[in-house]
Amino acid sequence: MKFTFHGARIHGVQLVLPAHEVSFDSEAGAYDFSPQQSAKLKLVMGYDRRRVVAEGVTCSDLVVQGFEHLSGDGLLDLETLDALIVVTQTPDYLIPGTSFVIHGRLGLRQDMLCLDINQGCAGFVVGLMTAFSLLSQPAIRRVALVNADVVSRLVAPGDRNSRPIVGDAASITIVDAAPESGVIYGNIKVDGAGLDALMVPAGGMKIRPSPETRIPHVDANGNSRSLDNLVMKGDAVFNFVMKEVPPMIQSLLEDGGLNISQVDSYVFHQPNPFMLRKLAEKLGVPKEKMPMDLVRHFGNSSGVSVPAVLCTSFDKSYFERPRLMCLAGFGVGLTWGSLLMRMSDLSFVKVLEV
Amino acid sequence: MERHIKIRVIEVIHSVRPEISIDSTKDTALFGVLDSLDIILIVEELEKQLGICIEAEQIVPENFASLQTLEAFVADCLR
Repeated sequence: MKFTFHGARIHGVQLVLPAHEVSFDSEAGAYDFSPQQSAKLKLVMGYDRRRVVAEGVTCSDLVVQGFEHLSGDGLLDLETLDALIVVTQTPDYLIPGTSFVIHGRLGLRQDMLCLDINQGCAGFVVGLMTAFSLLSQPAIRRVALVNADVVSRLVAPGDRNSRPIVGDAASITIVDAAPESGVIYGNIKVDGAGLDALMVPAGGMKIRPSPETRIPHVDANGNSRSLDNLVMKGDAVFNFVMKEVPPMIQSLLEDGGLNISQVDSYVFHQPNPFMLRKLAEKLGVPKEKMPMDLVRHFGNSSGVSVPAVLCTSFDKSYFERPRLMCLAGFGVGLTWGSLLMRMSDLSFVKVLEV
Repeated sequence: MERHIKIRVIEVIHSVRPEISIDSTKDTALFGVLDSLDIILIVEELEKQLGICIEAEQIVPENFASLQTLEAFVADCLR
C-alpha cells in the first residue's frame, strides 16, 4: 500500500539508552560457540556490546526520563503536545497501554490523544505514518512519537541466536505540522501468515503464562527457550527481508522520481551488519550511505533502531541543509515499510543515557 | 581445479566449525549440522578467501546441504 503525506516534518529526535552495557565477551561462556565461532560472529554479525535495562525497568521509565530531560533542557514544552503515540512490543502492562502510563507520570494535559501501537522493527515507520496522518487534523499541530522496547527481558538466557544482539532503548521523535514542507512518500506491506517467524508464544490470551510456559526447551540449533521467550527464526527473517525489502525501496524511489544515488542516506532497521551489507549490495547502495553498525555498539533495539541510527550516526549539523532520507523497517508481523522524506533544521538530535 | 575447490571449502568449514569431521573422499552431509549462523560465517569466509560475491538468494539451505552441494555451488560462483 502506497501513501503520500503533506504538511509534516520531524522537529527533533532523542535516543534514550540504558547506561548498563553488556559485552559478548563477558557472556560468551553462556553459549556453546567455539572461540573461532565467537570471534567470527563478533566480526560478521556484530555480536559485541549492547545496552540492557536493569531488572524491573520498563519502557515508561526510559521514556519519562527522556521527556523530563527534553523539557528540563528547554528543548520541548510538554504543554504543546497534542498527541502521544507509543510504539512498543513490551508494554508496562497488558492493560492499560503504555501511552497512558507516560501521560499520567508526566502529568500531560487532558486535551490530547494517546495511542498505543504494537509493532516491532517497522515501528518507527508505522509510527511516523500514523503521526503524519494525525497531523492532517487541524486540532493536532504536534505529535510525540515514542518508540520503546525492553526486549532483553523476553529473551532466554540460552538463546544463542537472539540474546547476543538484543538491546533495549527508547526514542522520542517530535513531529510537527509544517504546511510548507514537501511531499513524503511511503509504502507498507504485511504478511500475517508469516507471524511465527518472530513471536512470543505465551503471555497473551491465547496461551496464558504458567509454570509450564516457563519450562525451557532446546531446539535443533541449540537454542534454549520457553514459551514465555522471544522466538526469532533467523533464516526465515533473512529470506523475507532479502525478498521483500529491495523491491519495496525501488518502488518507493520510483514514486519519488529518484534513483538510488540521489538519496543522501539510507537509514534502515538494524538486524545485524551481515544482513544490511547484503541489502546494500542488492540495492546498489554505497556502504557509506547506509549505517550498518548500530548492533555492534548498542544491540538491536527493534523499532528504536532507525531513530537510534539517526541519533548516533548523524548529528544536528548534518541536517543544517535539507537531506533526502530513505527510512525502512522490517520485521514482526511480518511487516515491511519505508518512507522517503527530506529532513532539515532539526531542533535536536541527541542521545541521553539513563 | 575441482580438488582445489574442495580443499578450500573444507578449510572454510573447519575455520567456522573445527570439530566437524569431513572425509574429502566422501560426500559429508552438512544439513542439520550447520545452523543459520554457521552458514552466514561460511558465506563471509568464502567471499573473503575466494573473492566471490554470494547473492542473498543463493544463501539457502540447499546450497549448504552437503560438502558436494557446497563445492558445486562455489564452483558455479567461480565460473
